[in-house]
Amino acid sequence: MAPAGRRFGDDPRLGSADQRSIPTWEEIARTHDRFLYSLAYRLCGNHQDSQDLVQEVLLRVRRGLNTYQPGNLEGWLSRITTNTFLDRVRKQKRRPTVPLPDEPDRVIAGSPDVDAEMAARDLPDHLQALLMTLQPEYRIAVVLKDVLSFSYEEIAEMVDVPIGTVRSRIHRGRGRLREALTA
Amino acid sequence: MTGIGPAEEPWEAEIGDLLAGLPQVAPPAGFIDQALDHRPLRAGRTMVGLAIASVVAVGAVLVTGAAGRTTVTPQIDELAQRHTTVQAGVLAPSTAEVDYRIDTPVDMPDGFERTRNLEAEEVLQAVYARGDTAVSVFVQDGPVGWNALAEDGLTTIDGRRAWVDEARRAVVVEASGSTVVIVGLSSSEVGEVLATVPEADRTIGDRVGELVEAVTGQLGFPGRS
Repeated sequence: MAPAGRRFGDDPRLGSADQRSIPTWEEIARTHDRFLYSLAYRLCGNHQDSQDLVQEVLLRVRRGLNTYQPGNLEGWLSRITTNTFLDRVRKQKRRPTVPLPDEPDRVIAGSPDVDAEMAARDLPDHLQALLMTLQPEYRIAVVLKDVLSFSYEEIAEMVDVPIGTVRSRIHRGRGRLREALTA
Repeated sequence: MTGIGPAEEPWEAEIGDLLAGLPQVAPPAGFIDQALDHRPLRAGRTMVGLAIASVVAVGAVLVTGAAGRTTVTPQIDELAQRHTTVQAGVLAPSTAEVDYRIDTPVDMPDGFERTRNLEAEEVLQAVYARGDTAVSVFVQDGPVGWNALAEDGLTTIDGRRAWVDEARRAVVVEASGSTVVIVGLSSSEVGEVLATVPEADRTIGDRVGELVEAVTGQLGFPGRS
């Protein structure tokens, strides 16, 4: 399990997210550039699309800053980013995905020798490539949970689905990754 | 764990740990500055060597050549900034809603509606939007100063001379002696507009060409020669 509270972009210049007043658009862009770009890259899988996505997100941040309630800034940014990403996916329909069947959750047998796989492959690139095979909704859930360490509750709020759906998407996304890693 | 949805299984922790180990990905150097400055585009800023007089206007460099013919070198960065500024609802002080000599259509193909019709220092800017997607169409009197644009962006689109920026976020064409620049915030926005053109599965060059036809046709320019 990912260590709790592991987040990108925490910046002391902005103080505690719960205490500070609303930052400016420029402050957000400069202090959360890596957070936004990392999230975008994990969702898009390439730099060109990531740059386009972040630019679009920053514009939406600027437009929507007056609606932001001080608190979980990274959650708010993640919500905007994932919504924007899904909008782009729906519009472009160009990202190759391997849909997961809507079937009851399966128990995957066997014990993966993940360490051996790690030694044999360039793991970050390989993992990123595997992430790109997930359905966008599953990819978002897995990235938010395992890469960015958001809680199930936070993710449910961000993507606006019930917490059970979040758990299911994460479970299936991880299962797909495990299958691919051990194939 | 609340019991809502499938419970985590032991193997999931291993996958979670692998993903947690993925490194941060830093944006390219200067990317955020570019985004903040609304400068997503690469532009040709070189003045024409034959120029004997020039005037810097908003969004363009006007160059009068030896033959007395004034050409327009669109400053793509500047136009992109104007596009972003207007799109964000922050109008520059010198711009205002105007009636321009060109009667821009109130809508474009496939649901794009005109949301702004501005003029500043002889440059018309018509913004067309659909949902969160918007492009600006800039029009200025005078032929394009092709020689001042970055050479690798020069192309011929469907028989018409054109310049396309590397990121495919801007297209420069000439129509009826005017310089027309179509700018989007991102390649996807321009691409979405391109996708409204029939037969969108054709090559990007074909699609750009058809977009140019649609835009210049809608703006009242005659078709290409």
